[in-house]
Amino acid sequence: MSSKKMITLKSSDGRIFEVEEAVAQESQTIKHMIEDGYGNSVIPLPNVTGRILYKIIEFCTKHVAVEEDIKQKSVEPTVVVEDVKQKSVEPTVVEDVKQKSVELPVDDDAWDAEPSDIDEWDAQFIDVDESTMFELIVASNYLNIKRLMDLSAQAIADMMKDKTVEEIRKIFNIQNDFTPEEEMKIRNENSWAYE
Amino acid sequence: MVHLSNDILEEVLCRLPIKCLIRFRCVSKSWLALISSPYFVKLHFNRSVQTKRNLRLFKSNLFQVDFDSLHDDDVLQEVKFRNYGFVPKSSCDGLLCMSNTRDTQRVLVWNPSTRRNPSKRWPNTIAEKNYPTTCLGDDFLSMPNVHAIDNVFLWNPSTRKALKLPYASIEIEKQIGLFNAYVYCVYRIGYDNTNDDYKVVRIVILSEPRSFSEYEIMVYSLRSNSWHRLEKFPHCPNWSNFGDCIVGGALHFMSIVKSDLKSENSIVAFDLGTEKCRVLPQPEYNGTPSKLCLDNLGGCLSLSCVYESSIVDVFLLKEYGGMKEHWSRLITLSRTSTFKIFHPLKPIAYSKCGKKVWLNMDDKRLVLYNLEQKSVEEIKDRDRSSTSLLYKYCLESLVTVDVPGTTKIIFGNWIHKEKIFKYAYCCAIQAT
Repeated sequence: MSSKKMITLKSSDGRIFEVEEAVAQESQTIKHMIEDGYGNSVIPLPNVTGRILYKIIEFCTKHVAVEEDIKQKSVEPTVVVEDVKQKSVEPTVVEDVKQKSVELPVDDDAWDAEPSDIDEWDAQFIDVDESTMFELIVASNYLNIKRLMDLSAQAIADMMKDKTVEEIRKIFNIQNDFTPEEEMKIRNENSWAYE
Repeated sequence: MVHLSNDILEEVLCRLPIKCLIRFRCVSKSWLALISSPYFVKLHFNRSVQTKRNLRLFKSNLFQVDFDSLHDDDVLQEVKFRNYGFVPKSSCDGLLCMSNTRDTQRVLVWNPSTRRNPSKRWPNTIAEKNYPTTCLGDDFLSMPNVHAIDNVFLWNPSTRKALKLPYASIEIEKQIGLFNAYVYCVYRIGYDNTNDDYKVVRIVILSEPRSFSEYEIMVYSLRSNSWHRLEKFPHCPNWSNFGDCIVGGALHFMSIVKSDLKSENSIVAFDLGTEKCRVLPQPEYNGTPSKLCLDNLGGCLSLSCVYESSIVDVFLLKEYGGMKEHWSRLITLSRTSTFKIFHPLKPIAYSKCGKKVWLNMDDKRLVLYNLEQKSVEEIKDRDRSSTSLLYKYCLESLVTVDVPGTTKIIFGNWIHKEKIFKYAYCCAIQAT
């Protein structure tokens, strides 16, 4: 087996990480740097701390491995709609119409061939404190890793859903720059949303 | 805590449900600006369309079902609006076009000098009511009872803000007989992507039995907050089959041209931006179509075709407006000993996984069709307690109807939540 090319990354606090090229290229930012010829030297990432970079590398390594796994499995056909001119004239006869009992499927995974383990892994990965979530989203934005960006954005949104306005201000460290009258006016416009 | 830039904040916020976003508007001035910005409203809305979240179903009497909460609760929660006698006629991007419940009104004919109506059917006191009038014949004035045109609102149920559309009189020239003339109002709202504007098309049809119908078209633009009158369509619409499908910024309808030898159907697209009509090509039918029906399925124009052999095909128009615009057959249904087809067959929505389609059969049954297996998976007969299975889709959005200089109306308080048995409605809900 030929040895894979390794890319060296350096975090803001000076920690060095060596990763496979495929893993490093999960980040579009790093991918462009490699394409521009910087792949042979140490790539500095001054906006990412060592702690967060470690987690990001963990994420990218896992996803690269999963993708390689998928490539080896066969792909299920999903195409349904055919262009009219290509199909034969015979209309399909509907047979065996079954009357099913009333049951709401909770999710449509029941219809896939295998359950999504990677989603479970992702859920555990992002199950971290708010501070880390924020650092991850900022880093994944800087490094341009779409999948991690989506995952962390959704996790933060889920965390925010049931919070009150005051709690949001505390988490995001935001100063309330409304006067009490202004705030009251906005609240009253849509008082139903605050129930 | 690390500070999130506006770009990142938008990514996070566009994943929140509408109720949260409305609440978080008062977090700070910058959050208010971000959430209210037209860019963000569009971003959130597009995301809802893609992920099929924030969906509502409306029935004619204005029940709403919240799709997202469906997976949390086992029992369906229907919420009824206090609707003040208005019903949604059409919806687009979360905006509903609402008007009075009655679309059809009898036209009253009376002579203003004698203050009598020739048919002597209606009491003279009608003359004293202050109805807007339209001059039709010589000395006869007709008085359509025009609540349907007087009270039209654009309403976003999520923000609860409504805008009353300005009044636009009806001006139709037609000699009508003295009895049984009806005025019928059709409202359709759509998004004009050429001008980034919401348009409402109002068509008023004046019809009489044993006579042809006359109609007029008015178009309202939200940007200018005004109506303007249009010339009639170059293709005469088939009023019995008008359809409710605005797709790709155009209103589509069936047009029928009857000659001595035969009647020809054509599909016409009226573009809301250019206000011009074009005729769409029809698909290659597998037989002689006896009935055609247009709908909007997941943002694509769908055509349900019933053949003389009673087989039904549902086609979708792909690559709308492009060089490669073509029809693609989605579904074929045949009658079997156990499966009866009722007409008209209207596709309602895809399931959330996208692999199945819900169809309404003449409001008698809901059918779930599996696209991969090409078979009917489930049938739900209409429950006696349900008033109708005719659901319409509406997305929740933050689209505003703020027009400077108009009074803001906020209406639509939730009056109560009802837990309805799953049976009657879950078939429509399984669309998620």
